[in-house]
Amino acid sequence: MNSRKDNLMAYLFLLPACLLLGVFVLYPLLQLLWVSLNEWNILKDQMTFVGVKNYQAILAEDGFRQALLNTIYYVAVTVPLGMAVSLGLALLLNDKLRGVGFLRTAVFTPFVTSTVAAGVIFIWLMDYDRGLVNAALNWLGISRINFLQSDQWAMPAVILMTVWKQAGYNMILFLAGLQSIPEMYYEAAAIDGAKRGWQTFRYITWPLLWPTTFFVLVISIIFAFRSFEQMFVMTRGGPVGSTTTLVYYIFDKAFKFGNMGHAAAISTLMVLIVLLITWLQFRGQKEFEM
Amino acid sequence: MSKNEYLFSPQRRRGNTAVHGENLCESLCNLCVSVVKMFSLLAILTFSACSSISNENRTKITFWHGMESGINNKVLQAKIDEFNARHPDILIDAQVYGAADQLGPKLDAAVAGKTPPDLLWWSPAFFPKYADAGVLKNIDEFLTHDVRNDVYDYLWELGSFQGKIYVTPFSANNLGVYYNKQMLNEVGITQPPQTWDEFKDAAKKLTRNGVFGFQVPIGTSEWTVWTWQCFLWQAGGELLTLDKTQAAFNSPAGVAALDFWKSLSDEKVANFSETDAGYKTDNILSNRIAMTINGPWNYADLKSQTNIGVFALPKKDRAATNIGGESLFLFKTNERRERAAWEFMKFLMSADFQVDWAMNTGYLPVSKSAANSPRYQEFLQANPFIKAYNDQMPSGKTRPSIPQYPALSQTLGKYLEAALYGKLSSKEALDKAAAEVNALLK
Repeated sequence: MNSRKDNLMAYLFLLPACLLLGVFVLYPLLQLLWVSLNEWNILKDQMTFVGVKNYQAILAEDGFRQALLNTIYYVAVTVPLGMAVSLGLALLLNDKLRGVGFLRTAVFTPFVTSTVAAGVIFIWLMDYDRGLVNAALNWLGISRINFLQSDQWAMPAVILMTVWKQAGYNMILFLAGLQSIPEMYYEAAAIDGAKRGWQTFRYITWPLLWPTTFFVLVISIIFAFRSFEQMFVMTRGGPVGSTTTLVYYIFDKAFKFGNMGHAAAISTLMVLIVLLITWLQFRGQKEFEM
Repeated sequence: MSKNEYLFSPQRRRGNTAVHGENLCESLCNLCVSVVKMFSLLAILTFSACSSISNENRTKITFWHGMESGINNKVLQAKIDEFNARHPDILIDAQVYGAADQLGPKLDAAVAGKTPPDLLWWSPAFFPKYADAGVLKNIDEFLTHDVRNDVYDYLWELGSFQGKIYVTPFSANNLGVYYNKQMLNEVGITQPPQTWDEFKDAAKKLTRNGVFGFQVPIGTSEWTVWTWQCFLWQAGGELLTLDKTQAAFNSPAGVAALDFWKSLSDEKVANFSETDAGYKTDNILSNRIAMTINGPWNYADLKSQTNIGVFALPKKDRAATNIGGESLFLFKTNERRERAAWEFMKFLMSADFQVDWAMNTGYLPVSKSAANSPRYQEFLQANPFIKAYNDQMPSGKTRPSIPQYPALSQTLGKYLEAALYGKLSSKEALDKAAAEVNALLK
């Protein structure tokens, strides 16, 4: 009797969360799956079931392959680079220096800036003949680079902007992780003769920071897969599709070509890719801990 | 209200509650009551808001437009205020949607969400997709003989789909070449280049001191495709076959047109525009390029820039420009709103509006009575900038009125870009584009 009452209570408490997840995550996900098996004209609101035809069509497309490769390139560079930069910043700003609060705020500011505004500023910074970046390159004697209009340099430019924008957020996470490492380990190491610097970092900071690093890795990868605004503002997925990532390709398919079925099929594949990567990570995490 | 309170009152509910978890159920019920109360309050507020609108007794018409120029916006708003003052039963509510090239996704979302505007100002090339979807009002029943005869026939053709007229013209325009007068003078070009060869020659001479002679529009949005079609036509080509069922742009004429653009950039006498930003004037205004393709709509903003002139697009086998302009799309609602919107559409086609609008903004008038009016003719003689566009009108051609045009434009744009970036040869790019376009047209 009593346990039944407790169960009921527990389910009731779970209900709001389940409802929210059901309405905003599960239902759209199932709907997405359904759309991916249909041809859907949103203007006429007509749906025709076509089975796996959408999947066959996109897997045969050059555009999809290009978007997938672009996404891999983007994630593979943005994530490690972004993590290295933010960890470096966190290590630098972990000490109780004077003005450290101001510096941390300064590094964090890009994260709370709107991506669109930041994107527009980066367009100016990277302008071929009037941008600050090219002025600096020129001054250093390096020839100018037409970042946003070159199919080789557009992606690095977008990555640079993303790393700059994301660094502050990851830095805060790393800072929290660093401050949770008890000082006594460093003291003990100092007594044992370890040099403060590389040795303490390698044998104390890095292993004890691992839970934070792992968390940052997972969310960085998910953030990177979801990136859209940077490309939309800075390059429109171009030139020649060189910055068209999967999300941008989905947007193009859905809203420029009005092909909701294809867009949903690519979205489904993307969900699977992200699931797979996250699963691999968690497996790797477990093995690492053992 | 009192009925609701009775139905959901905790007292009544309490009698029905089950034995288990009585306290919890009671608190849940209390929660329900407050939620219901809140919704009732909301409903009351909404109703009172609605009634205050109907008290005003005006039919509110939402009018979306994408006028990017501040001056043009002001001129339009002044005319709308004039219309509103003259019509106490109608209220035109103008809203700016941003760049016309980027409207597609926004409009699709609005239509799919069943919240399109009453009236939309957009390029006529895009209306068949919406007419085909059945969301646009066919305006034949509203159209009177005098209006029909006054407006140019080609504009009605542009606004027709499957034999029915769906959109009315708001203004007309076409494409010409903006040039920096001083730069042309400095290199001794006194006559505007008339042929492709002369044009390239001019671009070569003008490329010096970090300035490019010309700017090739880059991007996959309509602007690139719209401008490129002029060169396709000049070389004697066509976009589609006559029955509009097959791509025809992968012809020798198409290859010549694309090769011409590519040669300008390969020979470093033209730079590329920012992606999807070929229509912007900042590069020519800041003296980074000497010539660029653009339209008459910047007239008001460029009035103070006396150094910018216009000449007709160069020709090859024939002269050609692409007639555009904006039309008004009337979305289906109810008869009262459709009729109110039609009043406004008529007002916008009247000679009174057309002449005022054309003289203030540089757009070309859509009706004979406006174009031939002494006021407008006088204005043309005093304004070589607008006259250049006006004189080009006879060589103007238009884009096909087919529902697939937006997707066609995206596809062709993608391959034009690939060719300009040297990823594909002109022939390969156009053949691939044609194959994809043919699939769209099926």
